[in-house]
Amino acid sequence: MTQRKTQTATYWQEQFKVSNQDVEFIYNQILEKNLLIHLDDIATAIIKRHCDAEELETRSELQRGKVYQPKERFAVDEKVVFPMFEFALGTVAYTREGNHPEYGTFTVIGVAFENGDATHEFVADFDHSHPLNNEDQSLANLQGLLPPEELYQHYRASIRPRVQAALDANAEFVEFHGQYFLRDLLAEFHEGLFNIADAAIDINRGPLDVDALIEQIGLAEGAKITDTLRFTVSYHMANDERFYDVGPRGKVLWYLDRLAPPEAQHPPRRLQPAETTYDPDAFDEDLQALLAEIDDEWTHPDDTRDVEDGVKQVTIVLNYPHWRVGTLPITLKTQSFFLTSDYNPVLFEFVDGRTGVSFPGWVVSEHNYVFGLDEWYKKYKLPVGAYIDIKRTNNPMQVIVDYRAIRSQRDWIRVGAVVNNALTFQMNTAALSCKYDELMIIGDSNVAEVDNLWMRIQERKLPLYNILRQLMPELSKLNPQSTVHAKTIYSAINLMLRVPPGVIFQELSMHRCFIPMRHGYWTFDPNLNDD
Amino acid sequence: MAKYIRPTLHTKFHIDFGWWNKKGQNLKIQLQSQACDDAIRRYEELGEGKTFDWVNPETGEVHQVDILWYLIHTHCSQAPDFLIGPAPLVSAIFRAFLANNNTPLTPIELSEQIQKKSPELILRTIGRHQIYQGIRPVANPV
Repeated sequence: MTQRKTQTATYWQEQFKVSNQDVEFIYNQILEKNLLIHLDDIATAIIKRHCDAEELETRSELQRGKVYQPKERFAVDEKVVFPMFEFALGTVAYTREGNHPEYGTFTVIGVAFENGDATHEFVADFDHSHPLNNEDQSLANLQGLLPPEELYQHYRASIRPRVQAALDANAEFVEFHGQYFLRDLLAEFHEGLFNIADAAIDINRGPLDVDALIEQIGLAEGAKITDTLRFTVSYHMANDERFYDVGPRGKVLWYLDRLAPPEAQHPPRRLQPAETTYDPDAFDEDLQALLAEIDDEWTHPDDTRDVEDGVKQVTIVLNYPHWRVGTLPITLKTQSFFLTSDYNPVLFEFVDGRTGVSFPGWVVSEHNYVFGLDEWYKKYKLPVGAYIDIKRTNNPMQVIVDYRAIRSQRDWIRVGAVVNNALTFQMNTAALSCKYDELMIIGDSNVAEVDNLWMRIQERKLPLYNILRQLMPELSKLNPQSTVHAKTIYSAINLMLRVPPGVIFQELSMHRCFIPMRHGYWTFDPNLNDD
Repeated sequence: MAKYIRPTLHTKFHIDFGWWNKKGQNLKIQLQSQACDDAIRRYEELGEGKTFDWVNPETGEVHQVDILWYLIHTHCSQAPDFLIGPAPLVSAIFRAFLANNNTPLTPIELSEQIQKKSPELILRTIGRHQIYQGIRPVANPV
């Protein structure tokens, strides 16, 4: 198939480089128009430059010889151009009769190429079906291929970072949230304005958008606020460590770094697993179904259940790590409820479904969690395993969080305790006033002791297999059949170690000592070895 | 020497007849191991060693290939279990190219064709420096 190099994946994924001429071209574009240009538009403009350059090259290449098509006849010493081989030019060295059980009479031409490599043979006088016979090989037909915008859509992942790196390496360009401008064209901005901005946000007790900040620091002076002025302010704010953008995609909201909780910027260690890879094909049907059921942000979206678009409410089951640090997982199920940004955590409001009182929440989409529920979990004494409802409001910056209240009752539930540096479990009665998943619930444990155990396991880097061998007898003793459900294993092990369900299920499936008993239940035989 | 470019899941692979020639490997023996009894019988009737001009379905390039290729492509590969029957992974990939007359395929397409193993595993198997049975990424031959 004849194909220009700028129409191929190979070119854009492997060969494409941003040249100095490309960068100069973009510089002149911004200079002439005095406008911000988005990285995507810059990349598209550079793609167009490369396509145009090849267009010019192609015109001259095609004039060097007869364009190769299988149906054509070629004579010895005739010059032939092969568009599908990057317009390589060859000379026909010999011809011979072709031999094929189906094709009858045709010719084979031996072609010597300019690079002096061995002669290659091609079919000629060939009237049979062949894609190269169907094509008009004229320049006109070579045009009208994928336009730069479509090429960018196809190869964005390869092109965008290279363009970005080339621009970022050049001190003449300045960038904020994907928009580029020239440093020399920035509006004036002096250091003292930072102090005014700091005070304005502090007094507001919440983030301020760029226009409000410009008004507060008196930069507009009554004139219309332009995009370049907004860019100037945001660019300077973004490069000062005191300030922090907390707005969702498409909206810049400036906040003070000192007012943001650490969990908004650094993922709590409790949420970070040591291992995340697993092979769901190794699981039986029960485990595959459970993998889709458990609300864990480290389960691959392909292994979870689809969620209807625009659904107004979802329910998740709280696991220990999220309970411990006051977070919720961002999964395929929950993600549409929270506004995100490509650049920063987003500050929004939780609304308490019981009282209607709002309180701050942080969407940390880079690490797939939402922070801000530690006090709320404590206030309602919600246990690990509690059902948590997440509901939309008319304001996308507000999300209702609720639990399923019941009249307080005493239930028998499993409770974990650290004894002799090991996690043990027993069934105790506890007063509960919420609905919960019976397989996941774990009652009040001594948080400080569990934290210490977690630290020791982190330091000793104990293999998951060893931990499972220690945990299985503890859990199975709570059941007269000596079986334990995979969800319970997941819930319990996450007190000691952050492990996604897929990783646990893989470990269960790999070792003979863990024995599946149908419907997600497992038992343990310490005498069975893998050999 | 062409620069080595690491293949991806979207890289097209094929059986490189040039590799078989350069390495002095005997393609006929490999083909015999993939042929059914009928094809072997027909091959013997035609006279072993007979070749034909195989035409690259994309570029028009010609290679003189043992006629057994043609017999397998037109006869054996029509059997329902030719592609999905039990066979080592590399042999299964080789068969996929035999069945489609060596039209280039990506690891993703190969995975769909042979209905076994993930595209990633196929890429790890045929996308290394070590070339098995001439299966390698399609490259500009000139």
